[in-house]
Amino acid sequence: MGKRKKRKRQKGHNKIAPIEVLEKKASDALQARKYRQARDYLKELYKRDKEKYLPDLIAAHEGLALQMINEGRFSDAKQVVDHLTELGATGKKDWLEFIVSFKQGDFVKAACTALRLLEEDDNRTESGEKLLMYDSLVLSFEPLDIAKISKQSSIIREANQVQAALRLVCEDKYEEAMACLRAISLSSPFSHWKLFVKGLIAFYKMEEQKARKAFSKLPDQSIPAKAAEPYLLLLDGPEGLKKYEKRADVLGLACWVADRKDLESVLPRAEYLWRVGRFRDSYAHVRRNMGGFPSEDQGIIQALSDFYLNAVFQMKERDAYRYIDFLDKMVARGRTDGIEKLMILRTIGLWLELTGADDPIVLSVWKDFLRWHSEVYGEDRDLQALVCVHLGDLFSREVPGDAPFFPLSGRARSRRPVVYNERLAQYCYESCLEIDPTNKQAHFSLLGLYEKTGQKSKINKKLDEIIELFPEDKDTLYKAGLRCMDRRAFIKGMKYLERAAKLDLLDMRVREAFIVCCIKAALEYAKRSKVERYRALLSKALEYGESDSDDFNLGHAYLYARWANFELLNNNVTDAEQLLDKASELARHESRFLYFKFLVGRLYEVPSKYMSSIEKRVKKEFSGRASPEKAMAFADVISYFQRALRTIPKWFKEEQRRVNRYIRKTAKGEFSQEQARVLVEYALQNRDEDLAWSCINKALEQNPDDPYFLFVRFQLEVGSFYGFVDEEELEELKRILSLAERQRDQELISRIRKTIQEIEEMACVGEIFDNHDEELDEEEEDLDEAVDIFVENLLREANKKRPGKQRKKRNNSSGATQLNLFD
Amino acid sequence: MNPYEVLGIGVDADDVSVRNAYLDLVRRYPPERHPEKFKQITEAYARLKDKKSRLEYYLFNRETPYRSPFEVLISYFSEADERRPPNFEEIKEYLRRCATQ
Repeated sequence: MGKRKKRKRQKGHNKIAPIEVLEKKASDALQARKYRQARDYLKELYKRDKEKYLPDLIAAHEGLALQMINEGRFSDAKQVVDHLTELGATGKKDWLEFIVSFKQGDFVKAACTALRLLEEDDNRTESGEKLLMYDSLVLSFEPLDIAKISKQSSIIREANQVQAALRLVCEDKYEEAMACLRAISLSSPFSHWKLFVKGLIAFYKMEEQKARKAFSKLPDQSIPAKAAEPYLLLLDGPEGLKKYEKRADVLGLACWVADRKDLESVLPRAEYLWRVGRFRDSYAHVRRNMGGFPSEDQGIIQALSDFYLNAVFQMKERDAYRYIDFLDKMVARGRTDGIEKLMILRTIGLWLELTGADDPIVLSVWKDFLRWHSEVYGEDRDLQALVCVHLGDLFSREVPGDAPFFPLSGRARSRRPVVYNERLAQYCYESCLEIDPTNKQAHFSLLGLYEKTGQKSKINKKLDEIIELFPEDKDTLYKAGLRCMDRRAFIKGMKYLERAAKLDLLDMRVREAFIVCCIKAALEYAKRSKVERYRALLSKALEYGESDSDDFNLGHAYLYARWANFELLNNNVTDAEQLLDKASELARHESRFLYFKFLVGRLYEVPSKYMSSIEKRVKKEFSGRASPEKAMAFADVISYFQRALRTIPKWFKEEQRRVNRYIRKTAKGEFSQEQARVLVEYALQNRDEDLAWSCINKALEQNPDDPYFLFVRFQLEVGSFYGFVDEEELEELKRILSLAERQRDQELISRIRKTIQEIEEMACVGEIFDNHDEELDEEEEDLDEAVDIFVENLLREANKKRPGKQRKKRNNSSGATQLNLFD
Repeated sequence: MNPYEVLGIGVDADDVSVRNAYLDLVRRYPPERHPEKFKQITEAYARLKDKKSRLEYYLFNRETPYRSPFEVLISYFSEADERRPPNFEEIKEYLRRCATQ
């Protein structure tokens, strides 16, 4: 039924309705706050008896107007207020008139009404209502005439002061603004405005704490408190955003305060969409509504562009995939212009790299990027070269070659790394060198690739090329020198290494390599009796050596000892004796020096007639009661030669046995923790497990919490069977780590951490296999019994072979013979 | 914040401009008085000090310090060296909007 018809019928019905019924209905409607209905009934009654029903009719109108105001229907409310005027209502009508004007933004009219109400001051108005009236006086921004309303002169004066202070703030006249505010007392109805203006002054003077303090003290629901919210949001940063993120009005006003009115219609919505996880919609919204987005230029639009195109790297996998797909589709459909396409291609390229996409796809995206970049900005060879090197580095990264362990044996395998995609890496580096033939990074990266893949001839060729291009590069010269030594091109190697050493005299690594190269070349000359040549080379080596060093390569004592042996090779006994005298003067550890001199003489094949006396002295050194100091010296010397020799001669093995015997003898006596450590290292290097165990047990008797010996014991027990390390053992290893951390033994800490990591990796792989087994169990319950037996046997075998477990048991029974872990 | 914004230079700045901007800022924000700002300036300089660094930043930067679009505005605003108040008409309009919302 139409509204008009219904009303007509209702009117007709009212006409015939008795007064009592209408009164009852009007009263019920008023009580139920159904003011519209009440007004209709009362209108009818008013026609019959104006005087009697006027107060109720006014009450109904007032209620209706208030209801409309609360619902934000201000123009409807205004009509009702006009009716009230027609009815000659007073009292609340003025207040309603005020509130309607206020809410409709007619602050001048609201202020006039407010002044009238305040002048009457019939004490009927509530404090909240009064506060709004005072606010209207400020918001009218009209100079109020004091003469008109004498009763409220102080109030008018204060309102004018607030307005003046605001004007002065806008003119950067903060001191004058503060002076204006002084006239407003704390008890003034404008004290909250005073606080707000103070906050504004502090805000624009960059006094953030003060501003925050002033704004946060404002009374809730007051107009200044509302106006301060966007300021507080900006002051509190991301924390403030958490509080206001759902308030689009505050976000919009914050754009205004931040002097970015252009973002007011874009950012609040974009923020909402982003916050609810509609990332693509947020991008699309900004793109649609923000001119110049995305941009690579400076400014907030650029910052927003950066955000929208880099945010994908912080998203969850599923969201990131969708976001990238969305960007990709925009490019594919040709909806992007030059800059946007460029920025999107860059993002997609970087994202594909992270997600391990197929290499040709990654390559093609970056190729597209370069092509498009040239179209937009013109050719930039530096940029192209950089992208090529970046891709080369990506493809030449090393990845583990083998599975970490064979699951059934639980044994760790060495994870020899392999180059991820050698062919593409080489292609990228070469492309870079085509663009920029002198690109240092590309040359070095290509050299690195050859080194990783062990292409020796290419390495040598590349090194020569690099040295020609970059003659002042120390690392290249050093590498080239080492490679020359490998090829026995000692003179060339020396040249490179000396140049490198001169570039950085503090780099001991380079100096040592140079000296080694000199010694090697000198030995060749000594064997060919080219006396002057080897002497010149050894003099040179001494220049780069250290007079007071105990280093077997750098120390002058040891260099002189070598030189003396070269002289003996050429039967220059007097020279040799003089050199040995010099060497003896410089040597600080007699046993160490003597044994070195002896071994180096034997290695250089000095005639036995010159070796007999020293041999006797060495024999004497080894005889008698074993001392830990001597044991350490012999261990040190023999270890040096073990490291230096590529092939070990027969006689040297006998020397190793002699040192081993001596050290074992020492191990039966007393020694310090430090000496024990050297002896254990030696024992491990020589795979002498018994010796290692005896030193470890002794050291742990002295200090049961020594992390080094605990860790070595763990390693000996577990060996490489990381797959079988149980929770308890892992916990013990973590305890050892904490002990090492307390001692700040960095080398030990990193060794333990690496072991823990490897064990945990193994556990993960083990779990995968376990889960897989479970799946198999579910699917194929009737597995061949023979397979089970076979697997069980294998596991039993593996456990049998696992020496650590056996070692544990053996440790408990003292005096039992220990098995050799490595045999 | 974007290193260009931190140093207050344009994207087409050359090595000399970058260095000059860096030195100016370091003088203005010495580490003993402004440790955070100094750190920010030094990091920005390290990213832009030469053409290669600038290109690397342009090509391979995956970072964004923001978690939502509005944080960009907030950060941008908080990093500004000075704040200028609106004119009187604007503040009138602003306050009236706050009153009627």
